Amino acid sequence: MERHFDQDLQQLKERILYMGSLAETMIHLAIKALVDRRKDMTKDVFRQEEEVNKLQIEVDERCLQMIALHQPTASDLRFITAAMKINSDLERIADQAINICETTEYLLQEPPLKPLIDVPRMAQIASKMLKDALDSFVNKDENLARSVLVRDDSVDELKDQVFRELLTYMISDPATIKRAIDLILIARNLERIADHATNIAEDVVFVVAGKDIRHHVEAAETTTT
Amino acid sequence: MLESKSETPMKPESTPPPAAVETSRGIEAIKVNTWFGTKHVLKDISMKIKPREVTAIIGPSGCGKSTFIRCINRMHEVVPGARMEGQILLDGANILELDPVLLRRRVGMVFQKAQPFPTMSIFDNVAAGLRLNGMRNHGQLSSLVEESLKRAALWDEVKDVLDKPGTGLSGGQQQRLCIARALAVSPAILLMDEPCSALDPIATSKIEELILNLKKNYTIVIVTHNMQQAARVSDETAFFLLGDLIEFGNTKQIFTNPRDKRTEDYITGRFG
Repeated sequence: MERHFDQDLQQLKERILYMGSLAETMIHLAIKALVDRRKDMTKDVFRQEEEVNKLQIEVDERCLQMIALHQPTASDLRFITAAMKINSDLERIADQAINICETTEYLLQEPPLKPLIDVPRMAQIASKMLKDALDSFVNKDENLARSVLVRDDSVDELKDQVFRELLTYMISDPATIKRAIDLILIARNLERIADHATNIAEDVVFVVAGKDIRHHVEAAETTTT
Repeated sequence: MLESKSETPMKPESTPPPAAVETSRGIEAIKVNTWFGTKHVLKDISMKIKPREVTAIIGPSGCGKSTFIRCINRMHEVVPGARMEGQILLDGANILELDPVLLRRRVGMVFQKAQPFPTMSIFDNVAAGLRLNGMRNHGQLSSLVEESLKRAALWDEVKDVLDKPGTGLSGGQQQRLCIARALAVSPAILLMDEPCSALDPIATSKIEELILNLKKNYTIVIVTHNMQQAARVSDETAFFLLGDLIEFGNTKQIFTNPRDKRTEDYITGRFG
């Protein structure tokens, strides 16, 4: 039996997906502005952030209203509580994209330090993680959500690699320090985006399977039982 | 198979009823089947109700939840044409081998609609069970009536009007009066069949608070149609559907992550 409430849940899902697609675009544009040295592209990112902020408030209001009026239980309850958390993660992802844009604007005032390879790779992996986390949310696909978790380590490794490489530039030529630090900050922003995508994937596993896998609780429980 | 049988007549006793029996092993239903005539109402119900916990029984109308709790104090068998198979153990003893009157003293019941004895005062309503059990000493009666009304969280509201008719109280107060009446004979188990369905939210919340306080000393089984109530007051929840026990487990788990699709569909309002 289709309930009226199902329509509310569907609308909530659609708003979160829209928010997710904005966040993905923001990451894409922010990195493109950096790699292609196109300052004009950052404007779109700032504009989209305002939209994401409005959506964050709207999604929270929807969730609160659904909890107050329908007292959801079971999978409905898991879905709504996860939606509130995903909402917060998406807003933070948008903030990280803004941070990348702000740093990019400083970097574009200087000549390029080096050809960018690892940073775009990190952005690509983090974006795909976000996309897959959101797809797993839509399709209630636990396996896809779990595959996102594994990829977080590769982003962390790339960040360490970027840091090590830029350290050699800074040691050999102090004139590169400012630009190198800016690039490290961007790598750090991308790593945070991957962390938020991981949080979303963990929430999806909770929605679909009812299992809380945050902080490796699941693995710890398996070894103790 | 055990047919309904007539009850043993009540025997007056000179001694006060025994204090609440420790239901250390709680209630255990083993393959309980019931019929009304040819209608098979409960099918192979097996479950263990833990002592001093609140167990909620939920399910759509006609699923057998009231029938199940009426089996526990052998009220089912007094319905003409009704019969039961299987076993219900109370502290390990088969209830069908116990004297129904003594059993019902240990297993009190509160019904959907508060039914105070209409011709009796508030005091007499609570004292009725004690008097039937042979207690005559007024001092003893007074102190047990006061204690029962206090346990039912009604004492402060009625202590100055104990001689007034019980039917003059509000619906919520009448329900608490019935709870006090049930508690007066020191039961170990309290069965509640939709105790709040006729009450407003404030009276409901008082009864729910009471249930949470009473569970320290009593084993409580509550039938409710109010899902939030089951979620709020119970430790364990059993979901019945068309006479089958579909799922029985920790209330938190049932309401956040039920294992059976039918439980999920019922508690999220997809049917029922």
